Amino acid sequence: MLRDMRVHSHTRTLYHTGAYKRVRIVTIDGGRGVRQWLSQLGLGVGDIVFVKRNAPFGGPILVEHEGTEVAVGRGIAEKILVEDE
Amino acid sequence: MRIVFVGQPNSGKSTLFNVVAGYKSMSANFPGSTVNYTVSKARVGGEVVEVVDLPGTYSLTASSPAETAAKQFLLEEKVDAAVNVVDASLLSRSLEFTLQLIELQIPLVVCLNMIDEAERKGINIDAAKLSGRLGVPVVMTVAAKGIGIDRLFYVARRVAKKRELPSIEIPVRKDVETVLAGLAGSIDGTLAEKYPISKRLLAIKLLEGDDAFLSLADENDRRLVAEHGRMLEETHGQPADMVIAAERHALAMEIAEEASTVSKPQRDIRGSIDNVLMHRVWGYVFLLGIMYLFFVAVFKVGALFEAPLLRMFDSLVSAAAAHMDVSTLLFAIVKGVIQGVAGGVAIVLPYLLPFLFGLAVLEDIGYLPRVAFLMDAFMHRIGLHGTAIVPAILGYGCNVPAVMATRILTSPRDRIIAAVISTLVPCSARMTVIFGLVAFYLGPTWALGLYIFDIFVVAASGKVISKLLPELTPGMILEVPRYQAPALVSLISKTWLRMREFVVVAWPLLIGGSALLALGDYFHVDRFTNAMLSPVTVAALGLPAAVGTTLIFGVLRKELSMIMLIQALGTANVVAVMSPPQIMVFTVFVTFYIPCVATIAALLKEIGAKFTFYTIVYTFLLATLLGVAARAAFGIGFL
Repeated sequence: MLRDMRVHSHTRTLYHTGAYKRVRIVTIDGGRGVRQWLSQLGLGVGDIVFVKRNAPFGGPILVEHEGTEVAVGRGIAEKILVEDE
Repeated sequence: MRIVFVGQPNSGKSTLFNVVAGYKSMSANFPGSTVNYTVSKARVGGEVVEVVDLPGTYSLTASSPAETAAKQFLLEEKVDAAVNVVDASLLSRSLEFTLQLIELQIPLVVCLNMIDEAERKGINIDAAKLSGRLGVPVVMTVAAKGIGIDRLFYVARRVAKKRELPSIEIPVRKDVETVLAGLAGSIDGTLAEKYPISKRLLAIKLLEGDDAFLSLADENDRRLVAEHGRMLEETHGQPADMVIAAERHALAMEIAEEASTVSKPQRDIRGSIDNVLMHRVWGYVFLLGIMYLFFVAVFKVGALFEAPLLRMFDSLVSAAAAHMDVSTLLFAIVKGVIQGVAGGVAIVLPYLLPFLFGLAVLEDIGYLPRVAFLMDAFMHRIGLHGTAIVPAILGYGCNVPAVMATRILTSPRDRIIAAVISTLVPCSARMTVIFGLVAFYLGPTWALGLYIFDIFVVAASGKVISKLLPELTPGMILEVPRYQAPALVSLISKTWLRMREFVVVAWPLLIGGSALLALGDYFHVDRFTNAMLSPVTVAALGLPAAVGTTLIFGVLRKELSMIMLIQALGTANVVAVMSPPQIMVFTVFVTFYIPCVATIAALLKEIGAKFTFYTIVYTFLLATLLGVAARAAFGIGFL
């Protein structure tokens, strides 16, 4: 129960995670296509990713996982919930 | 014997293919509906082997046309052995794809490529251990340096001859296996008779929601799939496709961890390049600088070759004139065809060739995904996303490769929008018109202004078309690969393949069209066309009637509208017949109206007849509207 509380209080979207943070993916919304696409690049629920940088003007987020770097557009980054690792 | 290369993008698959297939080999390119495989014959160990290079795909779940094509090839064609090329430095992610290939139960070899790259990153892989876990042979290579290739082919040929199938079925958790077995046991066995796959794999594919298999299922099968999917969803709290993906994901990570040891990575300067090139300020400064240098280089190289080539074709015409009676129809046709070929060879090739080569350099280095990252926010304003910047940039060289490049977009809707706006980007042919008329008679500032104006028109058009096709685009998910030093062989083969695609599409049209126009000229059809087009040219745009025919020529090749204008007006001093505002109106119209025939052919292939027709109508209306607006702005009186 306590664990649950802690998880929820630190959960935020990938988009709102600042650069240079290490986070764990909690959920991925946005339909089957988006999930499959991310999973092809090796990104899935439970994975720990490093947010390398974010582009200005509401641009994409660059995350790194197991040596793969992926640019994730804002719309999708807003549908990925993460928690601090 | 046929050996097929499969692998994820940037795994070094094409490099390997080039090393094997070589430049001396006979290479054929079979265009599929949307993707190409490259086929080549290679001599390995005294035997001629057919080598097929499938398009790079991340998985076999078929989320893009390239993946569907790769999967269909593996399932439906005769494959003696598949070589799965894997980037050793990205082992865990690559193994997810390898596991999918193992599921297909075809003779398979894993080619662990870029071992040097992995070692630099401090990753050491135990090939024997990996091979044991996967149940398939594993061969280590460094394709770029030719290391391990002989061994790879030795193993691939052995696997093909003995038809060695992967010896391990992919294990999944017990409850998932129960559901898989339940579905496999109850679905109609005839469902996938077309494919030689096991019922278990069929069950996996159906639960993953793979359209290629779901479309074969009847109502009862679909009901069973939904039922078993719900069972997984209830116990795992997520949709069935995610449960299966998660199983593969976990297994791939486990195997990768077990088979590799990690030590301290070597210092790599490439890691810090992005601190500049993807920087929120410097990234854009360098982007502008790189694009500027790129276009200057293309222009300089092109200009170097254009004049001597044109002279060569002119002397050909004179030679023909010396040997033939210039008043005959035959001479008119010969002259027309020579001029048509001249346009393709002397005007388009000098710019297209360095452009495609430079583009291949930017591509192979890995710069374009960085551009997509930087430009994503801006592309969203016009209803697209970052990836669509690539075809738009290509458009400045030539609209034909630009339209073809829209294939990299996954959504058909995005492909259509990107293709249509690419045709509005002033290509190098239109550049000659803008430079030759506007810059020459009105000054370079006006030419630059026209380019900036064009960017606004492209953006506005993107916005309008997105409104007309209001489907929600999922947005960008794009791998940003590490930088790589481009290999000359790969650059040349890439440039050559694209060049050939352009030549095959455009040249028959150029030659046929030129002959047709020569006929029209011979029989003085121009008076008729001028009269027919006068409602647009004279009434709406306020231009001399004589420009009518030049616009028809312009559809054939954009730069011809200028060359023919000089012929139609009967003087090289255009300003003697047309006022500077009229020149501006003419150039605006030429820039935007109807794409050239080569582009139309590319559009037909990529977005279909219906949308090609819409594009023609749209660009014609747009050009007329902008032409009339320019006329009003420059104060040419309406009669």
